[in-house]
Amino acid sequence: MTGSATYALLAVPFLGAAVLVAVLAGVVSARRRRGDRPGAGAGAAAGARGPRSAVLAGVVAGVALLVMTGVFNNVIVGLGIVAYDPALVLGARVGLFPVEDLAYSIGAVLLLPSCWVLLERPGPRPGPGRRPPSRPVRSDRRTEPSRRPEETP
Amino acid sequence: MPGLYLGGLLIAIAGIAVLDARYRLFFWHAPVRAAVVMVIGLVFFLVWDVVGVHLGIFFIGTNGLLTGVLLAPDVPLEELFFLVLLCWTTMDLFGAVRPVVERLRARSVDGPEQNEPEHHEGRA
Repeated sequence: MTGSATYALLAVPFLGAAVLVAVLAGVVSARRRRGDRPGAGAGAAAGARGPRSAVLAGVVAGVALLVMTGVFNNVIVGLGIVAYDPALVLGARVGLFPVEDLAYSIGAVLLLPSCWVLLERPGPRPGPGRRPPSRPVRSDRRTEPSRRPEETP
Repeated sequence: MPGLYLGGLLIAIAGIAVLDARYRLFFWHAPVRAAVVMVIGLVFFLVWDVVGVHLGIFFIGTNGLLTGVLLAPDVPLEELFFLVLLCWTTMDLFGAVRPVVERLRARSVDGPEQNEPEHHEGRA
C-alpha cells in the first residue's frame, strides 16, 4: 500500500472515529450539565462533574495507560508473540515495538470513557429511576476510612 | 511453553478485576453499561487487528508461548484476552481517576472558605 506509513495510516480512521465519539460525549455531557444546573445545594459538586473533569481524568488515565503499554508491548514483542513487517512501519520504535502501536492505547482512552459517559444516566433523578443514582454512591463509599479523628484539634 | 501468554493475560485480567471489585470502578460500578462499553471496545479493536493482519503489518511471531488456537488467520485466541485487558485497564484507570479529579475540582469551585472540614485524599 503506502509503504512504511501503512501502519500509521491504518490508525487514522480508527482514531478519527474515536475522536468523533469523544467530541460527541463532550457535547452531550455539557448539555446534560446545563440541564441540571438549577440544583442549588449540590451546585458546586455538579459543576465539577462536567465534561472538563472527564477530559482531565481521560488525560491522566491516558498517560498511565501509555506507560503500561510501553512495558507490556516490549514484553510481547521481545518474546516474539507478535512481529511486524519492517517495510510497513515508520521505523520509530519505543524500545522494541513500533511507535504506531501506541495508537491502540490512545484509541482506547478516547473511545471507551466517551462511550461510558454517553451511556450514563443523566443526573440523579428523584423519579422512578431503575437504579439508585450512581454518582452519590461514590461520595460515601464505605471503603473510605473514617475521617473523624482529623476533624478537630 | 504453550499457553504461557494466555496464562499471563488471565493473571493480569484477574488483577484488574480485583481492583474493579474493590473500588467499584467499572463492572462493579454499572455492570450493564460496562458490558456494552467492553463489547464496543472489543469489536473496535478486533476490526483494527483484522485489517492490520490483512495488510500484512503484524502477525504472530516466532515463539512457543501461544495455545495455537486462532480466531482468524494470524489473530490468536490470546488477542481477544489482550483486548479485554486493554479495555478493562483503560476503564479501571478512568474510573479511579475521575472521582479524584471531580473532588479536587469541586473543592476549588467551593472556594477555600467553604471547604468542608473533611480531607479528601486520592485513593487511586
